[in-house]
Amino acid sequence: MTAALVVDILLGLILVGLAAQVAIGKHLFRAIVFYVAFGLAMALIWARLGAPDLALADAAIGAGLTGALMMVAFRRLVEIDPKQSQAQPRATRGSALAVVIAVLAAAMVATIGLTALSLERQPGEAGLQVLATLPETGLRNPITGVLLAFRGFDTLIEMVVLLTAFVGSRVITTRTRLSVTTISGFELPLVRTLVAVILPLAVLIGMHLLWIGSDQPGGAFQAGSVLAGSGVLLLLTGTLLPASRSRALVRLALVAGVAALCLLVLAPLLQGDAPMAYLGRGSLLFAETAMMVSIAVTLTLLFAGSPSLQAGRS
Amino acid sequence: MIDLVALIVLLVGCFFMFAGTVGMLRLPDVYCRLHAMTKADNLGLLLICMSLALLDGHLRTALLLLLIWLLALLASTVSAHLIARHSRARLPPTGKGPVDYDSAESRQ
Repeated sequence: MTAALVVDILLGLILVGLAAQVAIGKHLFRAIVFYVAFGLAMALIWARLGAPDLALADAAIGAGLTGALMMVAFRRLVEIDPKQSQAQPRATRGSALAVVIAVLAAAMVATIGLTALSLERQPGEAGLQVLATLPETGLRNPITGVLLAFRGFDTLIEMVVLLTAFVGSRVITTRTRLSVTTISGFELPLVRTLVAVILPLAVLIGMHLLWIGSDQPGGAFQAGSVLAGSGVLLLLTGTLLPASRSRALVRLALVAGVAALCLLVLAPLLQGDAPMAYLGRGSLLFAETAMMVSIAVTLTLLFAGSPSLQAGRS
Repeated sequence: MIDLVALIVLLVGCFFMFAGTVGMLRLPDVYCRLHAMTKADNLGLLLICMSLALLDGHLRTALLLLLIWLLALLASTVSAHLIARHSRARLPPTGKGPVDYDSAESRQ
């Protein structure tokens, strides 16, 4: 047993332990904190599995932004119903049936797992084809190749899902006046300094991730979530404030990703090609930039719980 | 030789990280815990970064690790300050032993 294997097994156990804490934790706030830790452990595991793209996305979205969204949701929940802060939501009473179901489910998972392990490993045909065709696209990061060149339709649907999620949240929150998102102490010079240092760096990292996405781990999702992270920071420190009136520019940013991908689907028709024919690296950079803007704006607005943003104190 | 130095620095760094974590879990109130976390962990992270830079041996990596440490330092400083400020507004330190968080919560 090598040291690397020990680390991997430990990481796996930590992940399962954290997942259990999220699921059966008595206190809602504790469960959120454990969920963030779960996202970080997941990111570490993706990195160990050699999937830096997923590790980046999981660290930024899974741990960072989802955590922030859940925290702000918790805070608003407590404002509506103060009992929730001490609530113990689930009365976990063990029933005999639950034990039977759990044992059967575990047996099924174990059987599938053991069968999968005992089979001879087959090379993934689709993956091999992607790697073989990748040089034709001019990209060097196979993940970006799959996301935009080979399976661009899936990515279009993903962006539609994000847009739908935002519209859904607007439908729910449109009649409620949500509390402001600023933290106490945001006016301190120390916090101002943090923003002044972190913000340019975050924008730089976001642009870097977008730019290198074609050749190295990175891309629109990672870049967008890093930018959304700085959006959350700006909201927390009161530099940006939620605005109740929707603005055309913001709406444009929200649909930019879907629109750009639709354009990429339809544009080849003008040249007489099949829809979704590959148009080259430039078109992908265009689509990724639009997606990055959409992802960043959507996630920031989800955190703000408002249709638009306005400038706060300077 | 460099490997040996890096190993020793790494172990010392791990010791400080461990001490900080034990402090956070075992110390009685929020102020003591912050004290343990902010000091021990930042030093531990610096030592671990130094050891990784030594192992890699490239200036670029060393500078990137330094940047990571400085960012972590900035973030932990500001967040610790905010936590301490928030706690002081709700449960000011009494100067007579640790603040009893639970009983203060239940009094409210």
